[in-house]
Amino acid sequence: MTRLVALYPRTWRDRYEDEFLALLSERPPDPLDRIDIVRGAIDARLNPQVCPRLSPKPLEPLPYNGPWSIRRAGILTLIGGLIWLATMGIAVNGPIVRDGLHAYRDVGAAMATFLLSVALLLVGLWAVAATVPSTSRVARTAALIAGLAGMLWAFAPWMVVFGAVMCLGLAILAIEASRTGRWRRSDAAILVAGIAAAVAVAAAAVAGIKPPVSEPDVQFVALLMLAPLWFATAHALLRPAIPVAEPARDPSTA
Amino acid sequence: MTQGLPELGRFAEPSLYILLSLSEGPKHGYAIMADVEAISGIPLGPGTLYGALARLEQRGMIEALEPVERRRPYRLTGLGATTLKAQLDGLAGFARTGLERLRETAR
Repeated sequence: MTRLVALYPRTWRDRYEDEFLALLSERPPDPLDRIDIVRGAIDARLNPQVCPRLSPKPLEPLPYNGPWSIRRAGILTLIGGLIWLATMGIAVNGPIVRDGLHAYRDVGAAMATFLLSVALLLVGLWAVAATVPSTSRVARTAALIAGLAGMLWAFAPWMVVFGAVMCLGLAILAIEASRTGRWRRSDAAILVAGIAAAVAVAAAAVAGIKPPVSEPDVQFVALLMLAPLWFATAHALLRPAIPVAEPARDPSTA
Repeated sequence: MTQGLPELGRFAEPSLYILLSLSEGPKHGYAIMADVEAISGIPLGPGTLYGALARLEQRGMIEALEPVERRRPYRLTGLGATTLKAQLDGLAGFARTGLERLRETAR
């Protein structure tokens, strides 16, 4: 990769090499891309276009369109995450019910907070969907499916399949938001890692691997692993990677 | 004064797509490539992308922002927005004329 970039003149590399390599690491070039890079290098040598002066304007942590609504959604999602943690606390402290065949936790007391925390996550999900490019159909579809599944899961926590679909949709949305520059990659990675950890705990329990907690509580360990869904979403909404430009003004008319 | 894109030669069409993509808000290289492919259905090669970005930046139609995790976003300037509007107006007129002529031929 660096060999191809080395074909460009030094002035070009001083200005663009770092971001160009970042692009190529994100999207490894196929043979046609390699030819395109060689053509670009020839062009850069024949027609130097380098703009040596970089804009000193920093990336201000501006949110997207409708700043307050997006920011509020981020705050609500953050509150939802705290409620999620409280929900797990309430659930694991519920009394163990023994019906003769098996034992389980009575989590009835946590139902209200469960519903509220998932509802607040859906607020964050809606806000993320509003910020991804309108051309990103994958993200919009994932958000729609995740939203529907999340609503169903909020009212029926025992229907794990709805929770799984919501998580999958949110993961796709986060990856797409990261890919299009709306999220920092670290936020998307944390969210996906949380889901992966929850799946790993659940899979280990199903496989019979003894968890370090009592049998009825393993599900709560898996659910606790989902907390990054709220916190990564909230962080991305409160501090987006790339702000939308203020309405551009033509300097010639100023 | 609006600078035209045709003087950019083979970079004119990619430059138009890039300006259109940035009209939605700042984007870094990879996001521009993905958006251009979504808009036009034509993949934009990395060499062409940066050839066009350098030209647009030098002509003051876009400006670079501070990089985020090595990815540098670009955004449209006022001149870029004016240029894009002029190009789109031209294309709209072209399409209108073409459609009118087709309608007249069909009569």
